[in-house]
Amino acid sequence: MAAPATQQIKIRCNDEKEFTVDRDVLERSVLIKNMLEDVTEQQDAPIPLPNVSGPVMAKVLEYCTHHRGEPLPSADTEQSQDETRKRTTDISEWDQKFITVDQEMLFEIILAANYLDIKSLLDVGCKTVANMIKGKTPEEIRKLFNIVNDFTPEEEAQIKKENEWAEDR
Amino acid sequence: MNKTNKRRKLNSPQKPASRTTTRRAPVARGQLGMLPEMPLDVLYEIFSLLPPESLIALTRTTKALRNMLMSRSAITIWKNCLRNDPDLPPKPENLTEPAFANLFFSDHCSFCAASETKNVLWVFNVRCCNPCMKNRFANVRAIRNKVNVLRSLNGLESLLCLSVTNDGLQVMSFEEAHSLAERIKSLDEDTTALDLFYTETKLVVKDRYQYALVCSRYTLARERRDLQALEELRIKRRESIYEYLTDMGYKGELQYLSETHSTVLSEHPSVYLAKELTEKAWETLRPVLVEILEDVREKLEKKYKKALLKTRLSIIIDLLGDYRNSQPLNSVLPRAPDLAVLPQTMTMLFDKSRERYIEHDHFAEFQTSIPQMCATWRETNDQALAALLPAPLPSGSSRGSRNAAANVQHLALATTYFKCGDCREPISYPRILVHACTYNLRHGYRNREDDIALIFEKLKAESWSTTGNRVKFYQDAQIAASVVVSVCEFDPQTTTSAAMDEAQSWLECTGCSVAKKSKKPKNVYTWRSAIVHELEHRAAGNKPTSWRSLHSEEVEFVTEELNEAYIDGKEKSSENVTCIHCRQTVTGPLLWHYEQNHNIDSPMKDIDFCCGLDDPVSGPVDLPSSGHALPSKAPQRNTNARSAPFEPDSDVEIVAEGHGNVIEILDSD
Repeated sequence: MAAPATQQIKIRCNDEKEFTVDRDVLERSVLIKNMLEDVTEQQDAPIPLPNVSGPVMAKVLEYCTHHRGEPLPSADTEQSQDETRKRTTDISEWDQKFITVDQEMLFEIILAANYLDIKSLLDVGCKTVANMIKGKTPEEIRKLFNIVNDFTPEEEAQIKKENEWAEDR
Repeated sequence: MNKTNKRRKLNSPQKPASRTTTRRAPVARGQLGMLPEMPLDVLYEIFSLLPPESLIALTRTTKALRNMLMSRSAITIWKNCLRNDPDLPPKPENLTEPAFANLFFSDHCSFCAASETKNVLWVFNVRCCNPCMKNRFANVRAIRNKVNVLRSLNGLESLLCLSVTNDGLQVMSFEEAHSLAERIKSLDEDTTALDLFYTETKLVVKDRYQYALVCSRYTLARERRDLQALEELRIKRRESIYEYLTDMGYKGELQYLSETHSTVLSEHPSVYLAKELTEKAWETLRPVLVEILEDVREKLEKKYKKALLKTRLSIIIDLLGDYRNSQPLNSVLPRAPDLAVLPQTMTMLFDKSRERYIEHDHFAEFQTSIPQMCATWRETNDQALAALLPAPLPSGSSRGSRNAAANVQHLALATTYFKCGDCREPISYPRILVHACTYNLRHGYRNREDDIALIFEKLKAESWSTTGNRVKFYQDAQIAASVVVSVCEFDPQTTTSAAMDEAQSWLECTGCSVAKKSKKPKNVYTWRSAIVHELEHRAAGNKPTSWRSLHSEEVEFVTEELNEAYIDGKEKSSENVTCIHCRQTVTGPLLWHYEQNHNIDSPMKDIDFCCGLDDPVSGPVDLPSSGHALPSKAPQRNTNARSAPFEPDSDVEIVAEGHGNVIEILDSD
């Protein structure tokens, strides 16, 4: 008996760009997975994704295709991981190559992963950014974020001593 | 490329700036400029992945970020960050998450914010600089002195925590001491409450000690862990670099470096970094390392070349030795450098294959051609020596073209002597061809790297040649020899050395004998040693020598004496004679060798043993002056019977003038 053909799903991005993707690939996104589960009847109309552009979606789909079939983290395991375990910032080789993109695309991917609820992709994006911040001094971070130091020298000395919650001061 | 620089790189690698720090990558401005625009949940997600020290750094960048992170709503971020270090001790209840993180990961004084404060008093949960230490902490005695209530309190050490500073001082907190004093004063009336307070305080103090111990252990472990992490990064970087270089074909060079100059690459400032190797970094690093490895490759190739040369030369020495052993003793044969510098031999010696010419069998063709090579060598060098002789024919002679050939024949004459650049003794022919000094390695080869220099350096000898004033014709010796040959009643212009040796003439220098006291033995000489004596006389400007030929009985006597001198080890070359029967060099007592090996109790020179071709001429032998039973009258010599066997080419006219007219010189003397 022939294997059942994989269901193809159409999606439409905010720039009208449309993709037809295997359902299991798209289901890496918990958002889309839930949407598909809610729709019982076959629909030909593409799923609109108003927060994602075509180029970013192409990248996201590249990621989802590569990782298709891998088990999705359940809400419970995530929860327990968050509370007990150290979260490493190690990134696999493929993911590292995948995420080597310019700043704009990196943040677009993070936003898309956040919106589409693709936890593993969001992790890759956030770890990449975190790794860029790690080990830097305040001045280096300011330069990295392109922000200006708005502390006076006196304030700078003071904040080193103030380690209480703002609400408690 | 500059050689000196290359050497410096290999032999003295620049030390990495520091073993514990990482090189900081330059920060590209605005590389994460979009980050502050991210939604808060994404920012929380990102910040939660940071180590606590990075979160602290973030709180010190701008007011906006500080406000966000120091708000109680950011507690999850802090908790996550602290959790990212699983070995961190649990946070004490009296510290907030930021304060706890600050204590461990920020090096500011908890009181005055002075930076680089290393002194952490874990039991008090503070980091304290030296000036603050003086105001806020003191030893037990000072505490008792300054806080009256505690002056005579028993067991103060169990009620107040003590901490050891980095300087080894044991200190208590004034603040805690005052607080304790206040409490004691307030409970002064109530003994039960006071006892209970003491009991509780002691337990708290004990717990705080326990906690401080955990903290200090953690800091030590963290230091170790950080060092290990840095080392792992370095190792990973080094391995990546080695992998790249191996792919480029430098495996052998890397192996050589790790065995001989292990730090050249591993501690190179660009390699010894606790930093991941990116492709971009590799591209920058590659030319630097390739230069080093190309240098190593060059050195290795030289090393292999020298090793192959050594092996091949030792085979050539063996084969030449075999050939020498197959020839009569004292044959005039070339030495290893003479054959090694021949073009066809050099092709084999410097063949680049490491499989060819490494065993004796590979040199079969060479072995076959040894006799021919020896003959050619002899012929070439005879001609070179002949070229040093004075022209035998007057200039302009029609027979001039045959001068060279005539000179070669003249080499065999008893009057042909050469002067070696390094020793004083006149050197006869063919001894000059095997004379040790002519093979001595001269200065100047150390810094040469050409193939011939390599051969000479390996063999510690040069090939034989007359170049560089190594060998000169010795005219004074020729004149002296002419005198001696004449005294022996031979024709100096035609008599060969071989004929003189065969005649076994012995001479007495009567001039010297007269000068001695009458009862002293007289010195008598072989014809060869007489030439040396004649030369010495002339050099010293002494009276002309007058020679007397010894008669046969005297000859028999002195020959025996000389033989005895060899056996007794009194003769200067007697320690290095060759046994004619077994070809062994006899270095010990002669008699012992002959008795043990050949059953001979009185070995005879030239029958049982002989000297080397290059041995110095034997010294004079003593002949008793009087009272000895020797015939006083020398027998008449038959000069015809002793005619020289040397018969020059009938076309060649030997002219005495060319060598200096012996008779004239004698007369003038």
